[in-house]
Amino acid sequence: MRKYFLFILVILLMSACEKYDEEKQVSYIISDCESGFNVTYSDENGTLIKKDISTSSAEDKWSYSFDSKQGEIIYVSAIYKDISSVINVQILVDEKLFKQASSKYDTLNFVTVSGTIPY
Amino acid sequence: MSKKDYIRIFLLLLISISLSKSIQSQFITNIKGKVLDINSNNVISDVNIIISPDNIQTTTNQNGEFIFHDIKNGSYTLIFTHISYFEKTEKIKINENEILILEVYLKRKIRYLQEFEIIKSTEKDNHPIKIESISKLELLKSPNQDIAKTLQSKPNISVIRKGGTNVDPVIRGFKSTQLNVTIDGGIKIEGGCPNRMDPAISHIDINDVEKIEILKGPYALKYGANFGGVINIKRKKPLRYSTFKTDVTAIKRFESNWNGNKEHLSISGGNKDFYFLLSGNRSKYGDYKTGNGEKINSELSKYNYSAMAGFTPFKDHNLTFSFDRSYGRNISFPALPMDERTDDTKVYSFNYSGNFQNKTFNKVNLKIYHSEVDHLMDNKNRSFSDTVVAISAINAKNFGYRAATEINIGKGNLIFGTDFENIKKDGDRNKFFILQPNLPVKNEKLWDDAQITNFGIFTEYSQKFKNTNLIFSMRLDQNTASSNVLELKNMMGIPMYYNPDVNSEFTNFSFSAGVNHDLSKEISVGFALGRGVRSPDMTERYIILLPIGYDDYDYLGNPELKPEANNELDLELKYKNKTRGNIIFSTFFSYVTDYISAESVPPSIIKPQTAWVVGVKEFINIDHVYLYGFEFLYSSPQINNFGINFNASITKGINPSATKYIIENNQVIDSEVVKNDPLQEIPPFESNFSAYYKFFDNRIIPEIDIRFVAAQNDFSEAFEEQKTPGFIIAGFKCNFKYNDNLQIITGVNNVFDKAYYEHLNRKIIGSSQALFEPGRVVYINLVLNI
Repeated sequence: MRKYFLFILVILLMSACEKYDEEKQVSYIISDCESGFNVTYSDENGTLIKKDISTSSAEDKWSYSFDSKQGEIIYVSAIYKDISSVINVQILVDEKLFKQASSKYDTLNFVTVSGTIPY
Repeated sequence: MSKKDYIRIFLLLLISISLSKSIQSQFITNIKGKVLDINSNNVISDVNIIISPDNIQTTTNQNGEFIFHDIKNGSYTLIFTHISYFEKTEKIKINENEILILEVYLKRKIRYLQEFEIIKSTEKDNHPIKIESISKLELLKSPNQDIAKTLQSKPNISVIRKGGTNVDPVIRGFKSTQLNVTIDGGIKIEGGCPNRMDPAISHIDINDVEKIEILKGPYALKYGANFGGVINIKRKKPLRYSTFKTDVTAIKRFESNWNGNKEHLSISGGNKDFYFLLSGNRSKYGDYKTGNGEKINSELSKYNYSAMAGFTPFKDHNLTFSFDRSYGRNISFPALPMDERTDDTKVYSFNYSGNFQNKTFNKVNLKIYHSEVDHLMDNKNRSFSDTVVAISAINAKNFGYRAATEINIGKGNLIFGTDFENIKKDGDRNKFFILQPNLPVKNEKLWDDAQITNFGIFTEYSQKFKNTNLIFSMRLDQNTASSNVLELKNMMGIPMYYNPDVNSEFTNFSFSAGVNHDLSKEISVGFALGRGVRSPDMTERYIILLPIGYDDYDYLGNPELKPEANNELDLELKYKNKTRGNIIFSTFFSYVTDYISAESVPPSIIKPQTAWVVGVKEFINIDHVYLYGFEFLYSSPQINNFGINFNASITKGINPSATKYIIENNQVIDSEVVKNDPLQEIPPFESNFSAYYKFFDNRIIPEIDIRFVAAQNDFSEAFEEQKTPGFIIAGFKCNFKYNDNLQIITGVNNVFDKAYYEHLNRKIIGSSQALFEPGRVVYINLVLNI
């Protein structure tokens, strides 16, 4: 009898095991910009990074990927200098499009895509 | 309450009483006896004896004697239980006109006293203070993983629901820090969340609890300052044996609807010198569906582990250390602006108890504790996090002690002692403006190194005369509070609000007196009078702009608040009859002076910081309010294995002169005085009916429950409450005890899948829709003891 109850105990304990804080892969992608842009993004540590990126054609893509926990803030914001240019900013979570925004012929306003990694 | 409601209640009552009357029969004899130790032949007092199937209970007196009056002829089973002895069952047969005299011998199981607290006088029968209790079995039978939710089965106890778990208890209209929630009679936890998503009671797992005592009113003053009532959660203690033995308990709970799984494992043991208890729990619940099929974000994940160990340096003197760590993860609160992301709680305690078994000097108890809550919450699952992500981190610490001594003075019993509590709270809110260039962040303090210290001395004297119990108690509290200045700055760092007057000090005197008198063998009357004084809490004194009320305002603390005082009068009538059942009727009236409420502050003084609120309210004292109500309980005798229970209760709260604010275009534009406005968050009339039948020597006990709650038409206009419709829900459960090792409790809550909500349930954030209760839930609790 005692062995039978101990067996049930083990089953109960095993059913209680689970994995917490699942990590997700995050990718920032900026495309369609012909002549370069300034980008600000938060990295895997939540640190805000600013970069000046040059592109030679609209086919050039800039991307940054990292793994992060659910609920973390993800943020990417870009602005270009060439009034005849366009820009497309995307965030992918686990290779699926999470959010995106774009602008055309606008050198005054930042294109910002942000949010938190969904639970 | 409508006429229909009164008719329903009357019919329920009528059914209850007629059912009990229909099963009466004639009684003709008595059973007397004496209980002795099988080895020493000494008499044993305080042995609990239940006669089955009548299920009448008694205990042995100082001479080990007991008596059951007016028992009819037939066959019975007597069950003898005592904490230090093995349970014994005696089968007896009584012939007509025979007086049975028994001599029963028990075998000692545990030779050594466990840790105790000096709280004995509250456990006496016929106590003048209104006491409710929830037993271990009731907790095991509960379908809920929430301790506070189990209290709701008692009259005039309700809960405030903001999510799937961590409901906040309300007793007779008193709530929050108006109630003194204590663990093992002295340990306190200060929750982290300003919106009370983690009230103190939520930091203890239901499976780690042995018993809960609820002492209504401002009468029990020995557990700390008490305003509206005490909830004393008694945790499980290790059992001790003469030679080393261990006990293992495993509990598995499952609730359908929200796929709730809960597991518990504990191992305890000990011998005459040493004892220990190791325990762990884990809970994971999903979103629940209401009766109308709506899905509510209610997911939760919790786990904890604890250890308790002690030793006996001298006979009857115990030293016990305990440690508890609990974690909450991703707990949803759809009725609050934020969800709980993480909660890490630590509770350390040390307890000394000494039993001197001296004619005068009886017991000494010292308890020292430290609790700490690290609470992180955010709005990431709210729609407004698309523009601003808000994250709050709070650290709350509570350190204290309680020392008490119990002595005998003549035939009376005197308890006196001192307690101390130091609460520290610090926390802030970071707002990330995620759609703005360069991700600007605004930091706002919620509490800024705030601290409250309370030092109290207390005494309680009780004496039992032939037909009368008397109890008097008093306490004196020195309460001091401090904080850094209350300050709010805008994004440029320019102060928008500044209050440097943050220190306060109060000396509060509380007292209570109660008497219970047996008018006859069947009827007793109790009367209690008390004044409980409560100093303002951390939130009321120092919170810096958060929407923490039922209404849509940011709340601002007021360090100049005065303590509020509850002057209460209770009257209780008890009727106990073995053939007709027991009836208890109690009524109360509370006159609260300097009641802590809130009033709107013009935007020229301070502007709200939350997007969807209409303004700022500051905590203030108002001259007085009053509350009154009653509780009625009926329990039938258990005859032919069948029994019923019924209770009904109501509380009314009135603010004689409240201020209602007129809102247009999401702004306060005017105000008007509302005479006799009902107080906010007061539950409506409620009644509960249950009937059970015991099969196969109490091994299978099915039970049906019906809960009727009337519509709440008395709602506060000043606090923008709304009328709540009434409802009736039904439940069914069955307790199956296979043997001493295995017990299964299964049942269905809300059998008819009714869509309903309680008056105290908060609104879903960003809407005027109340948070509905879960629809039908099928549950099973499996209990293994080895």
